Amino acid sequence: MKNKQLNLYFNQIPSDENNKIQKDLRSNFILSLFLIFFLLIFLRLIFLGFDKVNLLELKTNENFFYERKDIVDINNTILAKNVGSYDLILRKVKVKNLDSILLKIKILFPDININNIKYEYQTKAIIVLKKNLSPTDYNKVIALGEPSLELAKREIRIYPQQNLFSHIIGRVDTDNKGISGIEMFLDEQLRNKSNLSNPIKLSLNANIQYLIYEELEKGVKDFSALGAAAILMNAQTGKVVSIVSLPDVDGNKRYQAESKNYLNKATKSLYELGSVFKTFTIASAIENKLITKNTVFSNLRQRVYCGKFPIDEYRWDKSKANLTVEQILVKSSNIGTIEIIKKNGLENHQKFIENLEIFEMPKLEIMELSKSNKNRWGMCNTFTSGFGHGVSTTLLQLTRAYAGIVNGGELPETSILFDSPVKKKRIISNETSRIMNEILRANVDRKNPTEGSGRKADIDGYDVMGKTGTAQKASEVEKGYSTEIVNVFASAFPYRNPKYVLTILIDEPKGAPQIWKHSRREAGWNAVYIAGRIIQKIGPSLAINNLEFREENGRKTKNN
Amino acid sequence: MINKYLVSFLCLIIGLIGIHFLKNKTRELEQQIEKISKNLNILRENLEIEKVEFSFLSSPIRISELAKKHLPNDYKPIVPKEITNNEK
Repeated sequence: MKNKQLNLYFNQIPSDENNKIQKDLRSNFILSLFLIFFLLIFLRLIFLGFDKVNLLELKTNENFFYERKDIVDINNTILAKNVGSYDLILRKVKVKNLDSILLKIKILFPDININNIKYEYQTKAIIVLKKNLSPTDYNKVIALGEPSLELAKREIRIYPQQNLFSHIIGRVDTDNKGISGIEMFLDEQLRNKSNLSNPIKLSLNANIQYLIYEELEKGVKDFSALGAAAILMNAQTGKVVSIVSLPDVDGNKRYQAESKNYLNKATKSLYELGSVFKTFTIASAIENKLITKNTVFSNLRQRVYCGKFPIDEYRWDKSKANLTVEQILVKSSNIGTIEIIKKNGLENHQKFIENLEIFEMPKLEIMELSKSNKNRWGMCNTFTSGFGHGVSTTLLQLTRAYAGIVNGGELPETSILFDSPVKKKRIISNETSRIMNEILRANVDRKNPTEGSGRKADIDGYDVMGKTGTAQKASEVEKGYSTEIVNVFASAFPYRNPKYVLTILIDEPKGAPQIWKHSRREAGWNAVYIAGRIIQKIGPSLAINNLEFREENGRKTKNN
Repeated sequence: MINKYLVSFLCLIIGLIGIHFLKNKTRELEQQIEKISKNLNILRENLEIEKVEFSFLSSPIRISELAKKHLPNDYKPIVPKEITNNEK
């Protein structure tokens, strides 16, 4: 047998057994065909098994993520997130006994209006009974077992921080499309299907945002103001740590669209910001080496005329007649600033302000931005712009310009995203920046014999520096100015190596005799006071976290 | 000859039985996988909801409200003045 088989395989067939072996050959051939066939099926079965597992895995991975990405802050706290939610729907075709169904629903949800449903029932095929059921309500409806009641799944966007970020994050409509703020600006990125699991990380910080929000809200109450805004920005990188604007809204609720609470006072509203501009005037002149910190301007008058328009000194007395450059800023002398512009030359001043991009459109990843109309640089306009009158801009642009002045002279590009590249543009030299910091510090220093307007914000240990601004608001009814004012305080800290710029804006503050025992309402008596309280609160938190340090080299924090 | 048929037939039978068991086993595993992955999806969705819940419960607005309600009035953050002696 063995011998034969061997012969078969080697095709050496002995001639005398030819017939028998041919038979063997045929049967063997057919058998081997069968074997191969079954082997194929067998192998195919095994592979099918493998294939199906792979398909299943794909299925489970693909269908989970929501149709919109999360937004998180620098500490990965969730600021906005989609979750599934159920709507309770009544389908008319399947209804057998309407009254019994309505009774059951009324027992479950006492707040439902039965009459409305009955009215809608006459015209519509599908009626939405209740939106956004809670998980317990969902189970109760399932337990009813009523075929005409259906649960339609949809996604809703939730803002767990409620009021905190309403102006920056914005909101979405019922179809989950962004309609304001970051939600609208980054709409495509947020809905990008290929990368839904990665959240968008912002440079904002929820804890610091809250500390500022709390103090600002208290300030608005103390000074019975119309509203307020604050921006905290990293002076070196231009990353915004916090933007607060009051009054605000809760992102989870719907209000009337005209509501004034939607207005973002920090980035959208244009204001004449007042004396905070004096910093730029002085920086420009120092940069051009035309004045130094101690240059004396003497015989400053109480009133000067530009053409026929009078420009008055604010609260003039004899101490404002002869001032050094530092004192011009500390005493906030308008006439002194005009003298500096005259010395610097109108064109130099205009060029410098344009270089600061303070009247350009700001760059931030939200929709609510604005810039003032093209500035016509007339002579009077140039003079008044030196102390921030006759020109309007937003708080955001002011914050950015201050960051550029104090951080060593490089104007950073503002951004709200965690991983956007840092871009800088040199505006003044390092040396000028240092001198400006000295002057700004003198304005806040409590020990300075010339009492600066910002001394209420001198918090021990943080070496705050800054400049106040008080400006009259343009009247809404007639040409000219109203009696209401806007107060600004632009500050930076710490003095030696400025890391953060904090700007506060108070809209229409009143005097607060319960705090000061007089009712003066200049920036020194409200905006500065609030800024001081804020810095006192956020200071420790900023110092411990040292956000900027962690951003750059995450692992070295331990060694520090 | 018979031996040859027998061997191949046996192979076939064993193969068939093997296939049968393999198929059943695969089906069983598939069902398990389906069940687990369904479970996993539910868990994932719950996790997402819990995350939202957590960030809501730990949001600073809510915590400060609770603090005002439950902590005694003298529970205040330290101000730098209390540590430094920089008072003039």
